[in-house]
Amino acid sequence: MDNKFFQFNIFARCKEYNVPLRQCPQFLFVVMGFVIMISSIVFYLMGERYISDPRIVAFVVLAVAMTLLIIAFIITHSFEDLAEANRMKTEFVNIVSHQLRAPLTNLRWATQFLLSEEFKPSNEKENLEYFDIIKENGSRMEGLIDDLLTITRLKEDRLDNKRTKFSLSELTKEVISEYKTFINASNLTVELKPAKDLKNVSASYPLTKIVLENLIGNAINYSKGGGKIFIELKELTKKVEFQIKDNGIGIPMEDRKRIFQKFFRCRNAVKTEVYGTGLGLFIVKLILDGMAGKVWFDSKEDKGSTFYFTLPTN
Amino acid sequence: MKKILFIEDEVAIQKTLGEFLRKKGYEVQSALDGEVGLRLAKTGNPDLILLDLILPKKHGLDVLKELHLDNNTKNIPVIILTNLENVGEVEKAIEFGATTYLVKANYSLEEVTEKIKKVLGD
Repeated sequence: MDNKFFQFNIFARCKEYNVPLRQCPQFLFVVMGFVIMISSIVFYLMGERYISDPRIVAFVVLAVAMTLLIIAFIITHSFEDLAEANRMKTEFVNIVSHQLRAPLTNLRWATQFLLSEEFKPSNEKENLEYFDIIKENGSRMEGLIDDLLTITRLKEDRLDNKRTKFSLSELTKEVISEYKTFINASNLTVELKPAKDLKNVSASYPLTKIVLENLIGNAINYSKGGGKIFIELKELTKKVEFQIKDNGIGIPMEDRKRIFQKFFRCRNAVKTEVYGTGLGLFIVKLILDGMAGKVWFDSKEDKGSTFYFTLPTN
Repeated sequence: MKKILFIEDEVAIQKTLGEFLRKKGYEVQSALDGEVGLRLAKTGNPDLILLDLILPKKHGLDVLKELHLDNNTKNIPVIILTNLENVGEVEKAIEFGATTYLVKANYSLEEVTEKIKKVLGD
């Protein structure tokens, strides 16, 4: 109910967009509404005086009103796009600065603690714990910057998105071998089952690799220590379907709609000690949308998730 | 020994600031989410609460609101310790009874400790 009223509260909407009233799309729309009403009345009065046929008067008034309405729509729509871009930019800067500040604070405070008089480590292990904080948070910042750069480059078409034909199965094997140490350390096994005589996919090789790194990385990160990750590749009509199944923490029902949103992290993922930027799945969707692919998932909280994507073969 | 309840989900922050305060002579109780934090605030009789805002299970502002509505906890001073800096959050925190609002990135460990000392009257 509140949201419905909010739609009509011009001043609140304009405040949200953070633009002056004269540039606010909702305010402009109201102004244009008045202009249309006044113009219609003026044309009606003029038409009644100079044109004898009332049908022509009605037609002229209608034509003028329609033309003004179309102009009003175009103007307010373009302003709305601008205002929305402005609002999103502010929100983006707020989120990014918060995301960068958190590891920065951790770095600063761990260093200050190590340098303080209060720090008297009782053993080598305690000493190393603080160096681990520094190392981990350095990587956190690096990961966030890498993800942000990937998004910017994707949006500006600056990443290598040239389509080639390659084997998705071979690329998957390559990514799995890159994660081998990580997989062993997490006590996991990964099984890859590609369909026989699988056709090559037609996609960008480096971008598909980013997709696989994100999905395989997530499956490892959110597995609950031990277990199996099962990857299957199937051939469908004119496309190949990839699926990756884990028995990890799963995605809570209430978070499912937002899973591909920028900076979104599930509640149960936040509770784990696994750090994430909330950008991985956003990047996966952005890449697959741009390569005529599709991504979706099934999940059960505490039981695990299966992520699927398709890529065209021609 | 004065007791501080530290509600913060970042393990690294719990480790550095929590340990720093312990070395400075405070008893520090840790909570990694809003729900546990609220429970400990009601049962543990802390002298001061350090509260982050973005918390799992219960948002910091909801924790603050509930603390403010409870007669047993409404007089415990609460220092908001966060990296959020927008005016709306600050206004709400003050409205719900926060004693002060600190942006983590702007303070050193020593400076945070000084603020705590001041609020506790040490």
